[in-house]
Amino acid sequence: MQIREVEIVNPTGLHTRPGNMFVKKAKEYAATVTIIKGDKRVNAKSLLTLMKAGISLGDRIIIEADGADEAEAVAGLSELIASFTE
Amino acid sequence: MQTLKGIAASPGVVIGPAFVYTQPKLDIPEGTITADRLDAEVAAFQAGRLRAEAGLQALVERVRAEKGDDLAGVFEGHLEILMDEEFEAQILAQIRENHLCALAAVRAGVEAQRQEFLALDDEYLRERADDLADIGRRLLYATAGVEFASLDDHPDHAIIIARDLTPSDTAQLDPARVAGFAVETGGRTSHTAIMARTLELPAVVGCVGILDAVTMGDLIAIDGRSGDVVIAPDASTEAAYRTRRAAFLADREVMLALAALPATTTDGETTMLGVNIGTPADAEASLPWNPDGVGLYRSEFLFMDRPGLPSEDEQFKAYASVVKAMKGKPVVLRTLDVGGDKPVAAVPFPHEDNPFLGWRGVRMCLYKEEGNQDILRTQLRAALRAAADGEMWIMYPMISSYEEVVAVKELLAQTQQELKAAGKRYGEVKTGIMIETPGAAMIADKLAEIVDFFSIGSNDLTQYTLAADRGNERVSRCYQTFHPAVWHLVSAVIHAGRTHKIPVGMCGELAGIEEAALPLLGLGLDEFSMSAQSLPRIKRIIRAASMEEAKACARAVLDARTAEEAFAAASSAMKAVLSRT
Repeated sequence: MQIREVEIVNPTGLHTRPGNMFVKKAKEYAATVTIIKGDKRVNAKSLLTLMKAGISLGDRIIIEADGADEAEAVAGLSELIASFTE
Repeated sequence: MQTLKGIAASPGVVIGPAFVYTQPKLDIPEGTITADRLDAEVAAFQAGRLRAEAGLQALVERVRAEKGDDLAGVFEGHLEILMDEEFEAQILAQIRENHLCALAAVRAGVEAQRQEFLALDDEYLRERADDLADIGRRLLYATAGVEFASLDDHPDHAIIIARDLTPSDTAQLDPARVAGFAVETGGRTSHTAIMARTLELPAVVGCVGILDAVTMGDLIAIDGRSGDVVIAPDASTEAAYRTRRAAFLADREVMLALAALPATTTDGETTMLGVNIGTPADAEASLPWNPDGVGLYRSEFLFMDRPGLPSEDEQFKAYASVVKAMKGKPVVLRTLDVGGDKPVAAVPFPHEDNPFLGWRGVRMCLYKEEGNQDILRTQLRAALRAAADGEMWIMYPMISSYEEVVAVKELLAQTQQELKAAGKRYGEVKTGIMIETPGAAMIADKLAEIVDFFSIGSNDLTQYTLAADRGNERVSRCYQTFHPAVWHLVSAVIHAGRTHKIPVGMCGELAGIEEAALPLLGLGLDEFSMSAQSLPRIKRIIRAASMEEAKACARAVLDARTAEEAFAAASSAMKAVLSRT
């Protein structure tokens, strides 16, 4: 299992269009990907649950991946979050 | 070729392909299914979901080609939610564990998700519940195998044919892609009609039989001034409508040219012409007509078609964008005006035998025992904050006594104190009231001592004065806009305003009626407020008249014995004035 903490840097957070892009990317990996915000754990491959987690600008979240390509998943998804601007 | 007649709801002439927007009623079986049916229902759901996916994908591609990536991204989000694995798991559980059929499972799954979103704190996320409703509708119809036209699917320049349109329907409409509307139900003040006038799209409402008569893609010609709808016009009729359309557009150009000129009489008296709006988009849309301000901003649109109340911030954003759009011209914001006759979901309304005489307008907000003062406080805070960005006038509806005015002024003062104590940025406002009850009109001279302006709500003033429900067809002949009694009250209110040197406006239908322009001008009305498109027609009359003619016309109207006599006097004066233009 791989985990990494990242900070949300885009103004609209992960519940809008960037959230959609994030979920699409997460689905590219075979690993199970979970987002942890506080005591909430949500499936990173479900836009609905991700939206409901209400992840906003300035939040620190943990990306947890478990599976064959877990290292790539954590790296790829962290990079994507850092690249969001809108 | 077939011709139908409806109610003329929004001026303009247009010819285009029909887009029939209907939502056939689905028969969703109640109760549970037997275990041997489970696999078949799962398969039905999966097949339906694939059909819905194909439909949405086609929509994404079309929107991308026509409107670009931004809007296409919205529907890509819909696609993602439709195919969401948690969403799928939830619906499958409804079938496999709760033994619901596919349709009932989809309905239950969508509703559960919607409720979860509605319960969230974030405004933006709560609004996503509407997206879920759209996605859910698509999925439901696809699962049922029923052809369903979503409003998003219409071709460019289509004429929308429907039973009626709800605010949530029209919210997703892109006005640039719609040519007009013809709907089966509704009257001149129905949502579809008001929205069409705001968007300046031709519309015919109350067009009985149109859904049966039209098939998707038929060529349709409509005239929103006469209420005529022609289905599959023959060559000569089509040509005639094209000519009518050209004439209408030419006339519109003339009207737009008038927009730049002030509403000044031949002897130099200038009157203010404002617009009635419901949303910030209406304010933007009114700008080409160059209004002198917003004479009526109906705040209730923010409160309608939603389960909860709009937050202070959401209201602030809307109000601030309107005052900014008007660039220092006054914006008259009417506080929440709802009641048993036009309820909002967030406020529980008790049953009333007579809602028009009941708990509505400022009464609903003010009367403490009902606990709704917080609604008004929140609204006032938002309005005061928006006042920092422009010229904000706050107006209270349904005032019938002096004490009510004292009470709302106290509430306003308290709110100002709270904002000041909290160190928030806010601006000065003017305080005014709607004069729409005969009671308020009769004590207008007293009320004028404690407010900064009046605005006469002619629709309610007429129905309360004549005791005739304006929505009741059986008594429509009693609801007489030109009834001399109404005019005597209007005259008294204007007189009281003049005496106390406060401006008196009018924001009801009467202010936009051409025949009423001269007598209202003659009585000394300071501001006329109406739909943006009516502005140049009223302005044309004012610019052609002298105050002396207007005063003579007002005297004739006050002197009349009947509405018919009053209207005849006003009409002939107007014709005399216009004949000189």
